[in-house]
Amino acid sequence: MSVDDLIASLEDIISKMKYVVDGEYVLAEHTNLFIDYTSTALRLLKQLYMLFKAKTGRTLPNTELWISMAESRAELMSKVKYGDIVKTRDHNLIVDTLKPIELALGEIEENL
Amino acid sequence: MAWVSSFPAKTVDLAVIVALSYTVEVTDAAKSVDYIRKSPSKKATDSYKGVDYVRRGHLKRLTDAAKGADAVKKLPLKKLTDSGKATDYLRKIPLKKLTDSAKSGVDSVSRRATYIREISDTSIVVDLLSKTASLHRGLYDVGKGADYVKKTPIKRLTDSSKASDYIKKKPLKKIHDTSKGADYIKRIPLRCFSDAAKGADYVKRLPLKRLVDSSKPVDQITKTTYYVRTVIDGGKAADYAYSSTSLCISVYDWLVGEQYVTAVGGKGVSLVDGVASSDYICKDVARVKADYVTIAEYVRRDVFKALFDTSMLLDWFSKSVEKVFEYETSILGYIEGEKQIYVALADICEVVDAASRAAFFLRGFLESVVVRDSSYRFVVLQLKDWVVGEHIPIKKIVLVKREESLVSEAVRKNVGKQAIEASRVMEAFFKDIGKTIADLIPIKEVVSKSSLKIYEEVAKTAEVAAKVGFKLAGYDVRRVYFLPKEFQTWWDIIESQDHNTKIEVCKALIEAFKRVKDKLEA
Repeated sequence: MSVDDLIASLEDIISKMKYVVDGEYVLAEHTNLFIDYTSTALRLLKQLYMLFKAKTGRTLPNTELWISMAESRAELMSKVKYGDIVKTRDHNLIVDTLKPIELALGEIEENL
Repeated sequence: MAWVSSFPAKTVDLAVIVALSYTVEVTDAAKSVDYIRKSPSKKATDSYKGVDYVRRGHLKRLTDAAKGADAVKKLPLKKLTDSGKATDYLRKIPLKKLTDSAKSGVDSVSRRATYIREISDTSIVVDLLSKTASLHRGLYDVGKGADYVKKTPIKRLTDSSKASDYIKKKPLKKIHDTSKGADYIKRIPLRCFSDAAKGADYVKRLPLKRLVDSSKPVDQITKTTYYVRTVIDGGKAADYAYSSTSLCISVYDWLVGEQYVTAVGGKGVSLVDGVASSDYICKDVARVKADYVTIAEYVRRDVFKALFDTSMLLDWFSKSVEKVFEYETSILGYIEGEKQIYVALADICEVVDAASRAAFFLRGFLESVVVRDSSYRFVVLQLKDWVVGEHIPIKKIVLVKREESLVSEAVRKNVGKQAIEASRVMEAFFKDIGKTIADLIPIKEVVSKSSLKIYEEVAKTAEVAAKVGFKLAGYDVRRVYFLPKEFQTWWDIIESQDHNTKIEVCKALIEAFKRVKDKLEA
């Protein structure tokens, strides 16, 4: 998938996400969408970094580290199904994976 | 007994020539003691001749005395064998070896070789002090390594080790004093012989009582003196029995022989062996072993207080474990069976890292519960189990575990393999255990007061951690922690705000992706 396709895919995923209010359940679907988003965002990030290297001829060690970190954390994520309890680790893994993605993205942007 | 009262007078009369008075005394002894007169009178005479020689060198005299009495050379082996009949243990193994060794000299089996060699030497030089001491030691060690070990009494062996260690450390001074006392015996041997004759029966019956008594008293020094004194008495009595029981004379000689007592490092052990030997002759090995236990109790109280604490601690631990498991089950509602407990613990593992470590830790203690009422052998196993449970919740305890592993490593390597090394190993073991126990206390605090403390710490950590959030794409996000019910006050759940913030973060990240894409394409 191209970068555009991946961005479109991310937007599609976000469009499916629903805000909740107090008292509402966080459903399995909600968690799964975040997992999809995170894995897609990671793929997109890697493609952007490849484009960055191709364009600038430089490598960004920190970015590579963060990408690697995000990959390792993303591997720990697993989708849940109806009836499963959404555990705290599911939530934590998502934010823990998004953080290095954000950091890598920020560094790429700064070096362009 | 009339002789005893007349003895001082004769001594005074013949005081001018010490050697003569000495001789007279010996002679009187032989005459006045029926036993000697009837049975080993020849030996008594020989001894008398040897005694004449004593004035030049006590040890040498003893040797000569043995040489002079042919019967002595022959008897010891026989007596050893006879003694073996006193107990199953000795009859079955070591004493048979004694007899064999006496005949064949050296056995090809390595472990027995030492033993047999000792016996062989003993048979040749029956009353040579150091050799005799080795003999006792050999008997004792082989006893540990033989069938005896297999049957159980590891506890006894352990206790024996403790007793040995104790004697090495403390009562040596007493032994030294005993040597001084031996000087007295040298000077007035007849009286000693007379006492020995009188005390022989007494020694046969009562030394055990004395040993037991020695464990009761508060004053360690006094009672230690009693203990040693008992040995001395045993020596005297043994000397009386000299004509019929070579082992006894060995005990006596060896106590009297200052050179041995002062020169050999392991005299404390020898003393114990001496007790064992003399008592062995009087009673049986089983009782002797029982005495060791008694001594060990005494030692445990006064010297190895840590050991006493150990047993208390272990007992306490086992109770604690139950409590811990009750606690665990109450947390997660799993009450039935170990499997479910483990499941419960596994669940905790998923939730809280520290709790998972505690789970392994507790499993080790579960094994401890199973063996809690068993002998020291199982205590060792227990330690091993602790080592198996490597995952400990707190750094401090990890250090403790390392120390335990060192201890149990030593035990694993040596105990039960070679009895000769066993005492050494156990000694090392108990030396270390004091330190271990001290270190165990922190464990106790953690486990008993209990996992409460563990979870309390985890909970505190979680409380802090739950509040540890970070900026993600400009939004405040936070990590969420789940804690056991016991810490419900710190419970944390994924709130709607967490969910909604993540959506905002995702949207913000898309914008960032788009910006980067645009810059790359520019």
